[in-house]
Amino acid sequence: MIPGVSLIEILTVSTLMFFIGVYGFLTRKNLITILMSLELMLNGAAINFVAFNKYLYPGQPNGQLFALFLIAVAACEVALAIAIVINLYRKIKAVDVEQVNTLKH
Amino acid sequence: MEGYAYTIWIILLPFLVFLVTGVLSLRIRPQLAGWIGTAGILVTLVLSLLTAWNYFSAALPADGGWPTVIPVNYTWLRFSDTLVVHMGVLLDPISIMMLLVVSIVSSMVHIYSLGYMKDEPGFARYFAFLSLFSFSMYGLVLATNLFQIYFFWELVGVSSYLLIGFYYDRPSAVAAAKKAFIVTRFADFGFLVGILLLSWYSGTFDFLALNNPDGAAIAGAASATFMGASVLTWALVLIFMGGAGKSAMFPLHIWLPDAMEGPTPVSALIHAATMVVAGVYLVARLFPVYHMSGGAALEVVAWTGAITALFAALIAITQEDIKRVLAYSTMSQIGYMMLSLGVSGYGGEEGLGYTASMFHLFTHAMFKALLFLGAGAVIHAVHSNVMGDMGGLRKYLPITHAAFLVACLAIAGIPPLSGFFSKDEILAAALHHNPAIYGIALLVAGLTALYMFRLYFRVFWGEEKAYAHKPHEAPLVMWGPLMVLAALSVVGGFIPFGHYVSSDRQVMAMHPEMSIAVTASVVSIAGILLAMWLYRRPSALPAQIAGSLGSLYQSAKNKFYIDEIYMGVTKKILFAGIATPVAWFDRHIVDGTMNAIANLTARISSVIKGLQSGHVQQYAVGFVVGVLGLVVIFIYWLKF
Amino acid sequence: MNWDDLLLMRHELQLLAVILIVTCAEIYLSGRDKSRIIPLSLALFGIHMAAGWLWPVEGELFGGMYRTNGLIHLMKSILDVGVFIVILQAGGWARKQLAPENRVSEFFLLIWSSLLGMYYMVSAGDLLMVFLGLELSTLPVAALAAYEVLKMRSAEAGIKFILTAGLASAVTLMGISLLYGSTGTFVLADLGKQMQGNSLEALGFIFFFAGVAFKISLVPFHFWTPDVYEGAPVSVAAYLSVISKGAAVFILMILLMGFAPLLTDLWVNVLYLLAILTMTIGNLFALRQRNLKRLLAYSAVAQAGFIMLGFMSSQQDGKASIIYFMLVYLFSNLAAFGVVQTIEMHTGKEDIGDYEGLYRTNPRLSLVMLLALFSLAGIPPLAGFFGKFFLFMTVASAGYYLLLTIAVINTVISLYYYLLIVRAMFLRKSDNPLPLVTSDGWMRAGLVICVAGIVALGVASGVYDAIYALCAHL
Repeated sequence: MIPGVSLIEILTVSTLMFFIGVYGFLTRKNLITILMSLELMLNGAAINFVAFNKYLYPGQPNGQLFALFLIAVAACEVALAIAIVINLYRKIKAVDVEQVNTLKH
Repeated sequence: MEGYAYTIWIILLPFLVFLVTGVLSLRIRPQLAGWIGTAGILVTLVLSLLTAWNYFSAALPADGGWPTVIPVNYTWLRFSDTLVVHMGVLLDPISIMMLLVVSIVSSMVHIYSLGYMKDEPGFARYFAFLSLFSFSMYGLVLATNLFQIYFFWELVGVSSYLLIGFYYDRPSAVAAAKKAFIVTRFADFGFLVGILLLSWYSGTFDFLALNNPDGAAIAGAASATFMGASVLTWALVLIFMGGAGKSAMFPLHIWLPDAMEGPTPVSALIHAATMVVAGVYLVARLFPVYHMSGGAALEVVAWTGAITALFAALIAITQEDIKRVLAYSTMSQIGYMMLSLGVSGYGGEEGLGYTASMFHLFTHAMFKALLFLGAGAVIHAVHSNVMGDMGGLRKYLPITHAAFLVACLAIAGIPPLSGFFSKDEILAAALHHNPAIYGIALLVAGLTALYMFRLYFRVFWGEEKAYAHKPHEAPLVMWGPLMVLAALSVVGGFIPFGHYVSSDRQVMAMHPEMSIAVTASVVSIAGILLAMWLYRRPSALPAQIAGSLGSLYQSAKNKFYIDEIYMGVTKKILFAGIATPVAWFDRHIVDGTMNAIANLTARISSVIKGLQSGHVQQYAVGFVVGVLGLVVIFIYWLKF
Repeated sequence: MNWDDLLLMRHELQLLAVILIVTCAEIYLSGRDKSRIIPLSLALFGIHMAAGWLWPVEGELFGGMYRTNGLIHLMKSILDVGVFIVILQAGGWARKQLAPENRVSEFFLLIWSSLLGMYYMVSAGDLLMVFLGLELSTLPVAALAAYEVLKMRSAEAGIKFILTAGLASAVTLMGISLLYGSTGTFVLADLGKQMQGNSLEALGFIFFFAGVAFKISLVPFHFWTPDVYEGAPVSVAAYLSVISKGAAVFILMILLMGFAPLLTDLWVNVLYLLAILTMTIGNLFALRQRNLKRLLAYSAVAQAGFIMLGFMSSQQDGKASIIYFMLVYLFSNLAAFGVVQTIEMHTGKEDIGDYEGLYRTNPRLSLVMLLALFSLAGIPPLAGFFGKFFLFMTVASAGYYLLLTIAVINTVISLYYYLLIVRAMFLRKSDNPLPLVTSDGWMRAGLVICVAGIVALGVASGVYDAIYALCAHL
């Protein structure tokens, strides 16, 4: 609970973060930037959990717990993604998502 | 009820034979596989005859109707607490009649094949497939419920696929097998939906409950309506669609002529006598339901049958391939059976059409199998399917010639052969119900005589061709079955059919009507005389007539382009999404539009494939659009 | 925590033990021939699978976060069977390709970790568990897809999978957060009670659903499917098409039919729409494929659409038809993938054209393929026919005749491309057909199990009855 800040404002921020992430995910060409956009989306969701918990259901910290797990899982996910990107980099000497389209139709 | 438990072996025995010959086909001598298969089918023939004897010689129950006996009925699956699926054996007059047809024809074909297929590679495989088919067909005719009949229905389709494609090194045989499978499968989609509708509303699959004359089981389906007709009518029309596919009714008939690519005995068994009449049997099986549903569904049956009978008879006149003539003839005769069912009422004299249809099914099976087997003997002798290569064969093949002549006279409806009696009943039933259909049926009777005797005269009379080696009569294993079937074709008509088979199971007396009999005979004889005039001696007359009829003759010769339209529907719509039958039709008539269509196909194909671009971000766009699309549709638009 | 509680989590604990043993074996065998890991892994997992079928128990743990009952037990056991067949079929490949590179045990460990995630997912009593299970089951698969590190297309498959999976999990999380915002709880049992059926929950549900739909490959969340199937090793594609999809179907079934009473109208309609799209688009794309892995991928998409038919009824019949179909589909699809894998491993060929005349040179493999394809097409008397029949029956009973008609027409379309393969194998002559391929013993065992399943499931009607009875309580 932050004095002077209402739930709706926090939700606006988190939703914006989520959709900025979506936008970045869909438009960036660099795989690393795409992963950063993914992080933005995940963090938008994490803020939601914490905010809902604090403002609406302050009795038990279950939303915050969820956010903690989320952060851990997101870290795993990105670590794995980076590994795969590095593997790709060894082959095409680039991290450009446009060049990853040999499988199609 | 007791005493028929052995009937389950009629179904199981061919299956065991299939397993044995199938598994051992590479290990044992092919000849042995043939003998095992033939022995197995002969045992089922004996069992079938025994069943018929026991059933029909037993005293009638007090109410005078033939009973329905269900000696075996296993619970197979429980779909829900109320809907249970059985697998079993149901015996009543029509199932026993079908049992006889299947066992007799199948036995004859097995024996005949021992000679006909003698030196083919894959002899053992052939007999394994034949056993599989016999198993499926027995299961179909003895089915106690809709699920069982559908199950074996599909299995019959599979074995037919395997047998048509038997000569798998011939591309045309392969294409024909696939065509037959897909077309009938398409028809079966109607059948399946119909079964699901009917069984869901009535809460049962069982024929016994569905056919109950008080209509209790089907009341729910009869009261619910959908687009102006009751759900019951819809279900029955859809079920008929399945029957029309298997029985090669217009416009689902296109697979049958091509199916002639299979070995000739297979055509005799599957595409003349047994599988193709499954559709007729199906409608007859559910006839009380069809009758109770009101007239609409039966009207569809009647007109489909009449149109097919006429349509196929017209095309048969133009065909050059001896087997194709027979194929169209089969379509035409099955159309006859269908129209007869369609015009029938229920009970007493009203049910004449039903009896006549079953009667014709029985007699037709005998003489049409005979025709195919005879054609097989001819092909065996001259190594060609085309009539142009034949002529004057009566000197070389005296036995085949005699058998063939009997069959031709029978199918033409010349008294006192079997076809005369059954066709006469059909005409009588049609006349009382619907004069228009009677007119078509009478016309078809004349056409039938014409095309059959065109075939007969061109093959056995006419000018002798220069044969590569002297044609010789077939061996005993081949002409023996011909004799048996010829004998049945002669005497089959004297069976008092109405005594055994009628719509309400009561004994029905049949009164031949002299006026109808005479009219039909006159028309048939006129057809024969015409054929004799045209084809007995080689002459230029047919060519002159063909010339003067011009385009009509041509379009009949091209089967009214039905194959082409159908291929257009199945293939091009699937591939291109929108290529219409009309456009496809044009392609064959207007030369040069081919390229335009090909371009269109390619363009639409590339439009679809563009969705899968290979770019992961475009996939993500699809994902996000999918989520937001669902949100917009369901939350903002439909307000869930 | 006492003995009974341990018994409740038996599946998970057993699998964990298997994972630990194989990890230790990997360390112990360092520097020696790693192919010895393969029989050990298969044996251990076989024991685990067999033990898993025994003693179904019912109960909850950790304050309701973990629950199990007869049906959930059955689901896990079905997944076990599938994974067992997959690793059996992968045995020869692992020996030939992975052992020289010293990467055998990781393959098994990753598959099992993913399976462990699925266990927790279907046993979840809480959205947090669902989420963790979902992630644990997804992430190892990304590594598996990229497992052939030397091949470009494997790396591409990995990239495509991990990116789509990341997007899906972000969207899912957003959905869960919205559901939480509306109800204040993660516990599934409370969630159903707290819901008011408002738009926020509907929004949350759709977001959440997208993440699961991604795993089932419903259109339009399916785009990754063909690319990843084609690029990934065949065993991984087989795993994705059956196990991964199966687990997602199971969790969707548990969540929707068990805990979302107020949203029933919504999800039935969403699935109605997606079922039509998925069947049709999957089939249309499959028609024009020449690469068998891609063809099977689109076929798997289309089959996912058929599975959705079972969701049209929340009654016992709907649930039973879904589970039965999954079981049938598992055997049929794994058989098809097994044949493709055998051919690909020995000859490197995976085009329909390469299969021409296969019956002449490899009659047994062709017959297995024939059975698998006929079962997938739903032709009696094979099990696939019954699976489809029950699904159609469910739709008919729920009264969705339009959907029923579209579905049945789609089976006819699918028959076309399945027959395309059959025709190539049996009815085409080729000037240079593939040589005789001798599959290894493990692959053969895997294929035999599949064929037995395809043939026996249709005949043994008791299987459906048993499933039906278990579905009485979810």
